[in-house]
Amino acid sequence: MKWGRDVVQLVMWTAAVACVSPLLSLIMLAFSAQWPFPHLLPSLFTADHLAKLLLSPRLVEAVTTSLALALLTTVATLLLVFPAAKAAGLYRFRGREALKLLALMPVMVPAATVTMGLHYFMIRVGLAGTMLGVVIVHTVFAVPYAFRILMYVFEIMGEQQEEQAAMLGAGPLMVFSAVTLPLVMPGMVAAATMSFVISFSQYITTFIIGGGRLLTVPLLLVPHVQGGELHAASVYSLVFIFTALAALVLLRAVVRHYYRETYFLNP
Amino acid sequence: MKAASKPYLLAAPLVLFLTLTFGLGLGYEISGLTLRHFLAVLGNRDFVVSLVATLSVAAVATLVSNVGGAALAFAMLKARAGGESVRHILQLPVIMPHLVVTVIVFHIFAQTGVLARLAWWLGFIDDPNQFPLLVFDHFAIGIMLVYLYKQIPFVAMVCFDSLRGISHRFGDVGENLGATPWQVTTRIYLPLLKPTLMATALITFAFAFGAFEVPFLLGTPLWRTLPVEAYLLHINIDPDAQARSMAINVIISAISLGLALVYSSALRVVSHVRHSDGDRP
Amino acid sequence: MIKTITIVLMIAALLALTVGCAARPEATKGPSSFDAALRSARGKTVTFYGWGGSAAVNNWFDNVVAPSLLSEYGITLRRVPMNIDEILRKLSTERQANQTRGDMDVIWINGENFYTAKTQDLLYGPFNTRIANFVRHIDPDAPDTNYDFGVAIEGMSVPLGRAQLVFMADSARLDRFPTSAEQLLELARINSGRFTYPAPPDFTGSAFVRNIIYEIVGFEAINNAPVDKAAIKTVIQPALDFLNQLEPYLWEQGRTYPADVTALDRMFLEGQLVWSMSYTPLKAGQLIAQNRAPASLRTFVFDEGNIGNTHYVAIPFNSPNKDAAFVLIHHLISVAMQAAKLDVGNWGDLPVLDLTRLSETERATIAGTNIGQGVLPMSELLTKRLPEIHARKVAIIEELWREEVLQR
Repeated sequence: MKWGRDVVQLVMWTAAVACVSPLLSLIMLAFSAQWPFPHLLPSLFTADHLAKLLLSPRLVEAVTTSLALALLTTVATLLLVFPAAKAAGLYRFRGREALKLLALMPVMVPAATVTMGLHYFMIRVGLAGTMLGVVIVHTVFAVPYAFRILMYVFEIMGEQQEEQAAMLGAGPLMVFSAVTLPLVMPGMVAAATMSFVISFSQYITTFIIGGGRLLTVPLLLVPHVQGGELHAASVYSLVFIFTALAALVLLRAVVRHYYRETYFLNP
Repeated sequence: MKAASKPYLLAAPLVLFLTLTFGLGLGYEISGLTLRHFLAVLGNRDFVVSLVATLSVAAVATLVSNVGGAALAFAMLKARAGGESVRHILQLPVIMPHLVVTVIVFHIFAQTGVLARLAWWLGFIDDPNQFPLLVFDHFAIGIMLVYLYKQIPFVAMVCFDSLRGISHRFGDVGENLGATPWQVTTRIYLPLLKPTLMATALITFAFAFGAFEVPFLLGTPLWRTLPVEAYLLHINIDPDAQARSMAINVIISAISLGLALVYSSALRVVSHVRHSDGDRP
Repeated sequence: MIKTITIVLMIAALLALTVGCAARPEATKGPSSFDAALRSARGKTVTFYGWGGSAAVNNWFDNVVAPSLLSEYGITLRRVPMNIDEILRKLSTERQANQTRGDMDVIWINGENFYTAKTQDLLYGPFNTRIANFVRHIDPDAPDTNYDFGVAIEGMSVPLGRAQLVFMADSARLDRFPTSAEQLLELARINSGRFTYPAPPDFTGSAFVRNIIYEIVGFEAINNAPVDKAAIKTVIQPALDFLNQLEPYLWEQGRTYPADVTALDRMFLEGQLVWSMSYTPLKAGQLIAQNRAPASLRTFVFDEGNIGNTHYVAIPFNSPNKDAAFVLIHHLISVAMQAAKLDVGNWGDLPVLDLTRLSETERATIAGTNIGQGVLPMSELLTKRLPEIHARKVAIIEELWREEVLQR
């Protein structure tokens, strides 16, 4: 038994170290000028471009736009997906399989294909190059993840709890806020996290629908990766990672604050 | 008791949204295709090679990342508090864009990468060319490493989230009744996890099957995956190439969709058996 | 559910059609003259769309061009990093959707992409002779004023800069540089596994293969060949044979190649390869100035010359501020901007100005620009500059390389 626990700890922490160690790579690359084989550390460090990159007004614009897009996408995705996932998770009805497949479709079709077609219609209705247009296309690609996560949460939760509360005389609003929401909250957080992450890392869709009017962090970052400018690419990557992490930590903290009791006492 | 229309009303907004956006976008793009374009794609002598390569890369990545991810999730559940901390760390690979991971994989696994340097210091090699080729290689090791770095934590995170709310109760009951950890895992956790794993497997497969950047930057030039082929046709100036590129994209989507259909009917059989056993949690 | 989806789809299609017919804004017209453009463009914002993968290039646009454009002409420059493939994809969708007011005023373009844009009618023009500095500074008879990768320009784009394929090696690690295909083979034999080139269709790798073709069969032979795969194969067969002969001495015995020039650069800078190549002729100067390479880095080309091409700026058909686009292009080919562009501290890109048309002081400005260490002088680059062949032959050669060299 003791031995088993050690293996568990070993597996888990090996994985954790493997997850984090690439960050060290990025930090080193961000500061290295020359790093010839076989040196384990860069033979020449530099911080030349660092200040210029970090202080540029474009970066501030990009971070703000990225965060705004990701937040709006998260809200839009949850609003759309919550009822549908509840339907698919709790009820058996004709078309349930079709719904599940439809919600999974955006993951299966290469993003550029759909976005190019969508761009045509967005131009026609005047949504191309607008924040709303970009949020819509980000939401399309966040739906599959959020839908699956929430659907399983509802499946596991089952219908009984809501029904019991209703039988005890709770109104629909009361049932929702006192029973449903606390029960699905961990799932909601996971779904929100995925939606946020999907939106935050979108490149090609922001590109096509935003048409360059909306500047996001990936739009700054990707050209440097493609151009082999590891310096700038690493700096922007670090900005990207830490902004996203900070936003997610904040999100979880807010949720915990509001649902402290139910979330921890009734896991 | 409940109006039969309730699930339809609940699903309506999402269905409307997806058909108006995704449906229209896809419909517009494929409307210009003819059979000729598909025949041109299927008749290319590289097509079969590409198809097999893409399928194998996606299949291996899916298998390893789902088995690994589920194992990691079990370990995290078992470790309780430690698992929660690791859950935070797992977010890092999930948020990291594929392109950035590509850079990092090159930096660590190339013949002048961190591992090769360690090998040099330990005296295993005295020249970068002696280090095994792990990027641009014919076995797609570099590509696979990127997918695994992104997907194992993704699978682990989703599994962990879907299990932690309920599993401790079941697991504790099982252990109190004298079940071994192995029995708890296979008899209790794994069945609970089956639908989640089915979904993550589908998502990871579809992603690896349709992704273009990673194989484009880390793959061998000798064979190309279908999405890379589609991209190269897309930027080709031959006037017919655009349509052939789109035809490849349709084929990619059709294969993913076909697999999803087979998969979900398999899932239905599995869950039907489970429901009739009456052990629905 | 399927039925619902069908109905929803039909409603959506109907909606899209109605909206599409309703909105049709007025097309933007080009300015009547350059002076009119100067007047009406003041106070506007002009957008520049182009590849954004080089910090040096971005820096030139953001910190040299943009401030001077604002102070001299009162125009704000907004640079958007976007690959040309995506720019053209966007324009072509906008063409289909009849969008007459787009987002892009000036785009950065050349070669195959110019051919695509021109044949798909995505560009505004002809306009080049209406740009004051074009008339003043550019030689109207120069080959690259009239042809871009063998495609007739016909006034649809204006040259911005000149690139040329160059090779780089560290003189401390390689005592002799290969200045011909034969010498390359010989040196690769001695330094087995230390040479390679990026796999076409990488832009630089593809240029290297063409450069070898020029060396072995001559520019005229391939330039005169028809745009036909079988015919081109016959013409370039000796060059393909040479590449196959070279292959066993390349990195990994030529069983695989680096995916792009970026990877080649990294392998060189980290010491795995003894050479690298670049389309930026002053790249060595940049690398030394940025401390990314030792001062012993040197640039060289083949004795028979290396391929050079010119990159251009053009105006999309739906540019919303064509007057401001005129002024930006005018400013980009001014002596001051071209000299700053040549400066290795900024970009290190060769100017397109016809030096004989410049005044004594203007020539001195160009000549006095710091082009950095380890590079070839402009005069040598220009005398060893070989033209490009037609854009459509490039794709065929890339296919042949794949079939006859890589998969062999």
